[in-house]
This record gives sequence, C-alpha cells and structure tokens, in this order.
Amino acid sequence: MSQTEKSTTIKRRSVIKGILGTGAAVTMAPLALNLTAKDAQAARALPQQWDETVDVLIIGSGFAGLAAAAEAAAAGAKTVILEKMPAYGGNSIINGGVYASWDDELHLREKLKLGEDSPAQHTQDTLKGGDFYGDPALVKILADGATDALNWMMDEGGCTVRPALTRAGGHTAYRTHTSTEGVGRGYTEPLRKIALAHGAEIRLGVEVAWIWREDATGPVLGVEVKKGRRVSNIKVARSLVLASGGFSRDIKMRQEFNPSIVPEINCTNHPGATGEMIRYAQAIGADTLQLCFIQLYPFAEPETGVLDKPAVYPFNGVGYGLVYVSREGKRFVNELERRDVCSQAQINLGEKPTYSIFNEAMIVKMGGAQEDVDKGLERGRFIKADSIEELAGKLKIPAAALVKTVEEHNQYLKKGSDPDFNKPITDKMIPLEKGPFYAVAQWPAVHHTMGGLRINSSAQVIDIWGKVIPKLYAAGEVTGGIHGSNRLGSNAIPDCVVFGRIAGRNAAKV
Amino acid sequence: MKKRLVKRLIILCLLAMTWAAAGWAGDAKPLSREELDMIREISREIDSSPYLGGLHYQNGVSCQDCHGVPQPGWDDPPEAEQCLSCHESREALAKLFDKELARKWGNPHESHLGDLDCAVCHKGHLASTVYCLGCHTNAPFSIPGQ
Repeated sequence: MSQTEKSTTIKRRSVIKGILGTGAAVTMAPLALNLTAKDAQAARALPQQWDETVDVLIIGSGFAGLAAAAEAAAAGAKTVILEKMPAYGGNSIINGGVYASWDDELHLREKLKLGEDSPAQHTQDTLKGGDFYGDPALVKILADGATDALNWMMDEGGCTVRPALTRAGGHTAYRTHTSTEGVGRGYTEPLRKIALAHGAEIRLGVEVAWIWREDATGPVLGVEVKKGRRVSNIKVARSLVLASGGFSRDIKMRQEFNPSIVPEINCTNHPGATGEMIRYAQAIGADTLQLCFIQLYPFAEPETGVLDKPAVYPFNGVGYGLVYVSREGKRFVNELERRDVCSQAQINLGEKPTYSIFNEAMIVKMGGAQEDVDKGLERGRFIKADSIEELAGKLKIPAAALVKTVEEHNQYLKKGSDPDFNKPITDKMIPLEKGPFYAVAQWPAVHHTMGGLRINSSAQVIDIWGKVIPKLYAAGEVTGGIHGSNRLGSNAIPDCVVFGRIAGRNAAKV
Repeated sequence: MKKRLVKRLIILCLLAMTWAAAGWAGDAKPLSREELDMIREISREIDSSPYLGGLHYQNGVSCQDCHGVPQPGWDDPPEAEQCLSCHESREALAKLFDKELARKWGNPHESHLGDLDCAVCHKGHLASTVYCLGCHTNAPFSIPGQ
C-alpha cells in the first residue's frame, strides 16, 4: 500500500468515526486504528472493557522476550510474556548456541592467547558483513553491550560457556563463544530463570490476534489474544514489547519480499516463525525496513533443514582449519566467508550435499565436545575414519580428489596463504594430517530474516511518519536494520539479549 | 445396544443436572451451548472413538477421571499431573520408548524443549500428533490415537 493510499484510508476512517461519534456516541466504542483496513466494514471497535491489565506485556519467549521480561520485572513492573507455541523459547531454544562478544568475565581470548579484539572491531565486522546496510548506531549498541549481557546471564542466570573461542565466517577475531549445552537452551534457561526470579510470568499457547491503538498519534492500548477458543483483551499499563521473532517459516511472506528464496528451500526455524506480529504492527502504523534480506544457514542437515548440534561444527570449525568440500572432493569457497557467500557457493554447485572435514584436534578448540561427536556418530550425522581415503570411501566421494584437496590445503596453512580462495590463514588453523578424521553433510536452509520493525536506539518502534509509537518497543529478530543484508553468525544472541534488555528497561518506565 | 443407550442417558442426565446446578448455585461457570454440543458429540462417539478419549473410556476411564469434573467445558482440559497420576512420570514414560529409535532420533519424552504439556501431542478428542515432526520431519515416530 502506498503512502497516499494509507492516508486516504485514515481520512475515510476519521470520517466514519466522526459520523459515529455524533450519531451513536452512547452505544459505540471508538474504532481501532487499522491502516490495513480496505473499507469501513473492516473497522473494529476498540474493546469497551479489558479482561486484564498488566504493566509490561511481552510477545514472544525467545532470547529477546526473556531478556526484556527479566529487566522489566526487575524494575518492578508486573510483567507477562505471551507465547503462542506450546513450548517456551521459539527459535532461541533450538538455536546453535553461539555468542559473539569481544570479551567475557573469564577473559577467554586473553587466556587462550587468541589475539586482539575490541567492540569497535566487532562493530566494523558486523557492518561490513551486512554490506553496510545496518544502522551503525544500533550495531555499536550490540557490540558494546554484548559482553555485559553475557556476564549478566552468567552471574544472575548461571549461564556457562565452553572454554573455547572460535573465529567464524565474516568475523576478523576469535570472539564466538559456545554455551556449555552447545545449543541456545544454554542461554534461554538462564534468561528464563532471571525473569521468573524477578516475578515475570510466562503463558504458553496464547496467541495475539490484534494490537489495539486508537489513532496514529496515541499510544498502544493493549492486545487481543486467543487461547484455544477463548478470546480476551489485555490492557498494557506501561508498554507492549514485541519480541516475536522473524518470518522464515512463512513461505508466502518470504516470497513477497524475496522471491529468490523459493518455497523448496528447507528452513532451520521452528514452525511458529511466521511473522504475523510484523503485520499487526504495520496495521497500527509501525514502519519496517529491509524485509527482503533473508539469510540461509549454509550448514543445515541436508534432508530436513534442521540445525542440530552437528550442524554447528561447520560454522565453528573454520577458525581452526576445517574445510568444506563438494561431492567431487574439491573445495568450493573460502571457508571464512560470510553465510550468504558460503550458501550461494553451495547452491551454485547444483547438487546437495557438501561436507565439512575436520579432525579430532579441532573439536575442543572450536567449542565442540567429544560427547556431542559420539552422539552425532551414533545418529549417523558424523562420519568417522582413520584416514582421508577411508573417509572419502564412506562418503562415497572420489578418494584421490579428496586426498589431493586436503594435502594442498595443509600446504596452504603452512605457507600462510590460500591461492585457490584467498582465505586469510591464521596460525590457529590445524592441518588435517593426524586422524581420526570426521565429516558432516551440510546444505543451506532459510535461517534468519534480517529485516523487520524499525526501532531507535531505545528499542522504541518508529512509525511510517518517522515518529515514535508511544508504549511500543521491539527487540530481536522481529526488528530490522541492524544486520544489514547478511547477519554474521553468532551475532543473533547478543542482538536479542542486548536489545531485549534495553526494551525491557524502557518499557517498565512509567 | 441397550447398555449403550443407558450410558448415554446417564451422561445426558448428568449434563442437564450440572448445567442446572451451576446456573442455580452460581459457583461454577455454566457451560455454553457450544460446549454442551461438543460434549454431546463426544459422548455419542466415545464408545467407538479411535482417539485417546475414546481409548481411555473404552478401558473404563471416565470423563471426570481425566478432566477432574463430570461435565468438562473448554476450561477443563486434562493437566499433565492428571495424566501422570496414572502414567507415573515423564521419566517412566521415557523408559518405555523404543531404545533403538531413541538412540537414532532422540526420545520425545526427554525433549530438548523441556517438559511439554502431555496434550501438546496426546489429544483426547482429536487425532494425536507428534510435535517433534514439526521440525524433525523425517523422524519415524508414531503415537497412539492417531
């Protein structure tokens, strides 16, 4: 809908409202703002009474929603999280568990002698990794706040990380942390613990059906919710926080903004990642940006698109010398490239899957664990062999080609340069000389929607006229404009936790 | 046939009584027409229903045994603790799961999502569905009452 059409709708609405106001003021409640309504029939009255009032209402129980709840409840607000799914955690609880931060209270980088880093360098990498489409002010907030947010989860929530750091695609430093659990649950559980300890409440199976706002200048009033067959209205005394995630599982919405992400491509997300909160927010005037930027995770399980623990190894291993090979046994990309580049390089090969090859010496260094690998072997996700030839045999790919590829790559590591793909070689990278060797199959799957609601540095949602929507905040994947055209891996959790905390603190203000 | 008719009559009588009693005493929310229609429909098919509600009823478990009230409405779904009062515990249920399947695919009763409510998968009056399959689309899991 164009700007002109929108203002026409508003005018028409105001006219209708005016008529109703003079003629039927006694019986009719004011109409709700709905910029997507096509005609007067679509207009709905605002609730005349509310079933419940809470101070801070948060939509979504992933990293951002939990962090917001923790801060809002800590500030003394009666805080409720609504989660439409029957389990808490959304995509966050099944996320790969990697967290980018230049430092942490254990000072792992210093201890492990993994070189220099700074928030400024993290900011620069993030901006560059998104082709400078991201908002520098928001990116700086992410990078500056990542360490404190991680320490907070450790101190107050009992979060622990593996004693390892890795350099992941698009990052120029060893700053990617892995939770001890090796998945996002290692952060959602601590966040949930902090939120509940401060008195926040999480309600499962409650779906938002509308956001109530009276006009384009007033505050958000509350939401209409559905639980099973019951419909009710919740008023927000202080603020509403949208932390409802992205829309990777909504094929129609994906297609609308980026037709290149064809329906056949797998998806790493949980079934609830369908983006309807973005549409409800648009209906009350919220602005969106960059909805066409949709990321593929290059290393998902090829058949289903699931991002299981083995699917994180290809991402985490590259800083320690893990290589990607095609079914021909040949490298096809600089492994330290960004996710969009790694995904496209695979799609260009035309035939799935591709494989990551690594050895035992890399496992612990990259934040892996032998226990994960053993489990993955049992499930047939990892393939193990004592020699590269044997590994090729098990993968049914040409042995001579794979041996040649690995030997050449070993030489590149020793020489410190990669003439084939120009990978920036570091002295932390381990040549694939000593077994046992491992392989894991991989293929791209839709993973993250970089675009979303426009926010400012206070996590307030901005409307299509550039003004703040009073009493409306947003954080996490539902927002846009931070990661630009391509989110760097391990930046999602700091984004969600840092901006979730900001949103929660501000939403709790009276 | 006669037995079934008697059973149905009893259910309908109970239904009428609860409704009347609730309306009269004012201490319980009276059931809506939709809820009463739903109960009537479920009662009519309970002897032959392939869903979990039917399977329980056919094994001598009454509506109240699961729902806690004789005439359950929308607000009276069985809670997990009600299920576990007969089915022991999540741990015990996890042990019943096929070991080979669990090794290869994981155990649905030890979900990485935490302790889900039983009714997420096990539906009383609808076909039961395995929630895991929403993502793990190729897992060869089956469930009773499908």
